[in-house]
Amino acid sequence: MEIDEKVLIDPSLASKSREEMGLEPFTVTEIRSSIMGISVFISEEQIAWVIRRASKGRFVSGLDNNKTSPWNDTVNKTMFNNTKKEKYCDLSMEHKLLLKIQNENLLPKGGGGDQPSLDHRVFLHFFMTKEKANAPKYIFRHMIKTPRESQTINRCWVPYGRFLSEIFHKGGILDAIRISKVSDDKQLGTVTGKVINGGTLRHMKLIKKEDYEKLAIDLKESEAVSNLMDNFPPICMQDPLDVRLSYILKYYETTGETIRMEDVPETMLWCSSCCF
Amino acid sequence: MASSSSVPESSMQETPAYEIRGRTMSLEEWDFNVQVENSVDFVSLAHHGCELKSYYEAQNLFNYFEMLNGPTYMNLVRHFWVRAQVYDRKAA
Repeated sequence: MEIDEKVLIDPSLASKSREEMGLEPFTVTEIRSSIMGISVFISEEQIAWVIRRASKGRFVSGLDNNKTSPWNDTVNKTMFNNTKKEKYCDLSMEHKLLLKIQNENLLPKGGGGDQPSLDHRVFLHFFMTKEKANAPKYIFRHMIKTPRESQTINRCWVPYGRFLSEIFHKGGILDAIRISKVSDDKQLGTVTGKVINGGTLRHMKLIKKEDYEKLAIDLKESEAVSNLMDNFPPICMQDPLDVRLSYILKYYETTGETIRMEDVPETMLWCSSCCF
Repeated sequence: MASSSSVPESSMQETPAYEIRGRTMSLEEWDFNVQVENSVDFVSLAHHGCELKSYYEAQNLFNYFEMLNGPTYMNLVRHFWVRAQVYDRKAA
């Protein structure tokens, strides 16, 4: 496309190489964008660097749910211990969770995940059999599919919110924003994700309600929102509205910063800095 | 089709140190739904009889899962996304 544009401007370049046209040589596929004027290019190598894992291992793609592919048998054997494809409910608990984690975290689908494509089932097969898969490549290939969908069919969905944020962070974008003080957490729209834990097993009806117990060492959702604000007032959503408002007002008077209602934690327990 | 005489010389511009990219899609930033990954509490899962840690250790993906428990900057992600362009062999 770049070549076509150049040739359109100057047809005498038609038989020249990219370098002769004044273009940089093509090396790798990338997602290119910029944040506030700073270029951000994401490639497979960069993903591997951010998760500190070499881009090595097996990668299979383009199977397109081909019914005749020999992968069908291999995958069914791993998933169901059978050569026939069975239903989701026949998966073991661990395998259900592996699938859920794959759909939420590794190859986010943004929709129902009970019917993974053959490509995704092969990826799952590598996890189940502990054969090394090229995860950075899988993630990158999955990631580049979605901007195209946003451009062509106006799909309003962005995967890898947290991972992209980490890439921005590792790439020094956040430092640049902090130093320049052009934005704070409110403008950045900082949020944290949910946690998959024993409670998830209960929701998925994989364990009985009474078997579920909360552990003291349970992983807490990241407290980044309140951590970035000093002296967050001791309020939560269980406090009456006027109490919350008066605290927020007082906070504003002393610090000059506003607190949005969304930033007020649900319960005191959620925020360790305010529970004594 | 076009003869070279009718085409003006293209002016070569220096690549600026910073660049402002245009949007690559017709959707607005606020239209987007950002999916945030879920962090995974392997201890709690194992306690309830679902031992998964070894699967991800075998894939050397533990750093990834540790990274997941952190903040997501929704607006930056949206800002990035509406300007994103896939630069591959076809685009080059």
